[in-house]
Amino acid sequence: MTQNTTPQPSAPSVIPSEQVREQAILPWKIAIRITLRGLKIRLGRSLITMSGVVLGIAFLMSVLTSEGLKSGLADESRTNTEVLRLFKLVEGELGSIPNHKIAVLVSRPITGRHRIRLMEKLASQADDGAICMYWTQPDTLTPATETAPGQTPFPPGKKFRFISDFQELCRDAHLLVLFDEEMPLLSTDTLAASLKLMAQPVVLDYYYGRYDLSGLQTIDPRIQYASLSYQMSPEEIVRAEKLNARNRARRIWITVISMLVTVIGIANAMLMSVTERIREIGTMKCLGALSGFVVKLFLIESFLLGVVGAVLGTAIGFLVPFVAYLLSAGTQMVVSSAPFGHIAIAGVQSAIAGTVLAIIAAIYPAIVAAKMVPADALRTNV
Amino acid sequence: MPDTATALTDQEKRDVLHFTQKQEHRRVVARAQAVKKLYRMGKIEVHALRGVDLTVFAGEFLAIMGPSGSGKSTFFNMIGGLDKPSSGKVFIDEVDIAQLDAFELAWLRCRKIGYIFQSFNLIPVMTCLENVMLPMTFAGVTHEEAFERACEILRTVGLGHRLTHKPPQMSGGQQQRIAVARALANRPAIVLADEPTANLDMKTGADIIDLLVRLTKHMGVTVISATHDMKMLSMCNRVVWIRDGTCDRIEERKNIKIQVGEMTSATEGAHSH
Ligand SMILES: Nc1ncnc2c1ncn2[C@@H]1O[C@H](COP(=O)(O)OP(=O)(O)OP(=O)(O)O)[C@@H](O)[C@H]1O
Ligand SMILES: [Mg+2]
Repeated sequence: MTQNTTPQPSAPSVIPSEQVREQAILPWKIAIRITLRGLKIRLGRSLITMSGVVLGIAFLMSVLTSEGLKSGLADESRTNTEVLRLFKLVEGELGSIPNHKIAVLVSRPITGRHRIRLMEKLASQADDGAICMYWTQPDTLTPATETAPGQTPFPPGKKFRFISDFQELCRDAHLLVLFDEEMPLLSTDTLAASLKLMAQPVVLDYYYGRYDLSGLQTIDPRIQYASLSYQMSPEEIVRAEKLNARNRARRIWITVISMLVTVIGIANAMLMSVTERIREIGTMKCLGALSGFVVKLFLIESFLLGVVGAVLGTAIGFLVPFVAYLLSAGTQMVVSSAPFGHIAIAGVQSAIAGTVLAIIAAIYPAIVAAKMVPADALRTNV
Repeated sequence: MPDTATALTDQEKRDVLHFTQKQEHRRVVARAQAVKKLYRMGKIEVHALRGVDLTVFAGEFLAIMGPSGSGKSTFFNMIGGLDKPSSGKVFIDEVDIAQLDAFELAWLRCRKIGYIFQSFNLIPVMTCLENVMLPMTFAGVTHEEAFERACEILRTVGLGHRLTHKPPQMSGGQQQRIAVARALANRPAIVLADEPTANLDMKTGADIIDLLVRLTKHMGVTVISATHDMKMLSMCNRVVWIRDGTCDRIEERKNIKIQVGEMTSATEGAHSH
């Protein structure tokens, strides 16, 4: 028996090291083939796993969408009331907007849906070239740098004209819109001088009525002054701010909760789908699979489930609240007010988040299982 | 209940015996050297193996016997490279498997060793054919060749007509035959079986044992099988008795013949005589 313990040189005992590496690493192509077959074979189970991702992302997306639509609608109705008041005022003074020159004094880029919509509504009522804009420096009444008109969402052309002289802006204008909240008050002299140039001045202070009407009327009795925004008392401002803060807190809370629900839902679905296959992983390792290959399989699988699930979830999560709002608030209103840009960004983000989450939730247990010695993996019972 | 031995021809029986006599001069395929395994579960320590030495020769059919909990499965895992011994060494083809890296270990499991488990461990969602093709895929065999070979092996284990069935649709014996076919997929030098007949009835168990015996005879495969099955004793070349994690004794089959007779007389006598 002793002679057998010495290895025979002819024995094929040496493992061919080069060959080992070449053949042990299976190409992605094969991994993808095996994964796709697996997904097809356990279609039912895969769909259930995927529905975890779909539901999670749909929930998150529907929360984000309805928040977006809600704020869009709130914006829209605020714009509408303000525009209505503006139009009423203008119509009371001028008859109607067409044929009248509207002077707009702006010191900051016009951003925010609300303000953009306001300008658009104004433009929709005005003649071509009737809206003249003057870009001023924020602190003095001197023209801003040339780039300023480029910053507006309103391209110069039919409706809009850009003028770089304040006097020119005011000449023969019927309406002066002081657009900016933070713009310094025009001195009474400046105002008086410019108002003299106007055809029939209607001064509008867009934010919070900072001018005193009787004071203005001593300059020119023809001045009609209207604050577009409802002028709130200090208590009302405090209350509004509290409400705002509460709303913001609620929105953050809802978003965080829905994110948690999404994370847990997806992680649970993916985790289960892997842990119930730990024995299978052990078996594959007995058959000569490298841990890396097993992980590769689960990476591809979770990626496919994640992408399809997240995209589906995003679509469902957008469509359901969108249709609901369409039915309850009316197509016109919703379509014109919806902040589609923001919703699209939220959609892309949640789709990516869903995919990444699905991959992490699957890959982590897959790596753990693949690193187990096969004996332990085979003993696992889930 | 037909006797297992009748499933083999007299010529085959003689061959097995002849083989037994010759095997001393054969090559060593696997060797365990003072293999110990200690499982720790919190404060409790279980000495599953307390130092097992064993030499396995090419082409023999080795049965590992022992009471439940004696460490057969643990030893199976050690010698198959499915688990690491706490101390001691396992050599496959005179290569210490503790020295192998992940690639080489995978290569070894893929081509050198075929595993058969008590609970089959087939992949339930894959068809019979795909189960057998899987180890070939891991060995880098092309799809076409794997298909051909898997069909052929499945025909030899008598499942040529059930190629596209899935394991859950098949009987225990049929599933174990798929497992045998899968173990043979890459023409391994060693087939390791852990109680391959434990979940099967006498007849199907005997069929599986026949299949394993044929492997050693016709394909020169070394079979190491843990078992409680007395029938397997009558078919193997040597028996290793394990008790409490130690190798109690190793016996040639010709020597244990009487013992088998004694042991089986009680059980066998009940239904065959
Ligand atoms: N993974 C493990 N963790 C802890 N203890 C284990 C583990 N595997 C085996 N054991 C212990 O090691 C001892 C030997 O177990 P093993 O499974 O090898 O027995 P066996 O001879 O195969 O028994 P059976 O014939 O019932 O299959 C047992 O006492 C068992 O409890
Ligand atoms: Mg066991």
